[in-house]
Amino acid sequence: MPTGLPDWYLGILLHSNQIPLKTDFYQQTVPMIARREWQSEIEEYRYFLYRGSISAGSTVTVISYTTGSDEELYLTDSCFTGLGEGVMRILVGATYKYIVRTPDGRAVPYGFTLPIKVPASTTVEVEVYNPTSSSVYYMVSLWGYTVTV
Amino acid sequence: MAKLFGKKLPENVKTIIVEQDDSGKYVLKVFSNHANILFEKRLKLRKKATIHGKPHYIFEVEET
Repeated sequence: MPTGLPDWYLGILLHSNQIPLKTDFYQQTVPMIARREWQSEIEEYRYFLYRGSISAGSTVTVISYTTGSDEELYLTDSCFTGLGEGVMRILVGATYKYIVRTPDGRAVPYGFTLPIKVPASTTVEVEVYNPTSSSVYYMVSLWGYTVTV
Repeated sequence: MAKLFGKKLPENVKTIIVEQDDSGKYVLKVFSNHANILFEKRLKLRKKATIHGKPHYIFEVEET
């Protein structure tokens, strides 16, 4: 589990310095469930995966997902890896929100402390750039949850 | 209604996988949960732009 889980919960805002260390959320009269856990439980999640090769010097938009007019997407975690050097970028609309490079294919897992919000009717794209002089096989995992608006 | 590469998706989409199969072809697989596949389609690369002299491609869903 990546570090830096958000400190907001369904309906109740708590900060880590305001709760005792041994609080058992599930034993409380009103249980508090982390937002990402709740959205997964009610099956309002999205997983995006890519695996494939990209030719030398090329960039490929491997995912291009446009949210519906009644949904917001919150990207919470990502992982980028491959069999060689590469660059992965996440764009929301026309804005780069996250860029990562692996120098030799080593996995770069990352949990977004502040989830990347994709507003309704907005496109999120994942680009992978192969800066090397030969074709490289890459893998991208990206996941998050949706909220109906 | 959500879209992937500009194509409309069913309401119950949860998992989207773009992968290269053993023959080198790119395939889109769309799941309603972890196990139930909704559909599978071939993808092809289309040139989107040239940036600093280098090509930028995007996938396009092949109509069958």
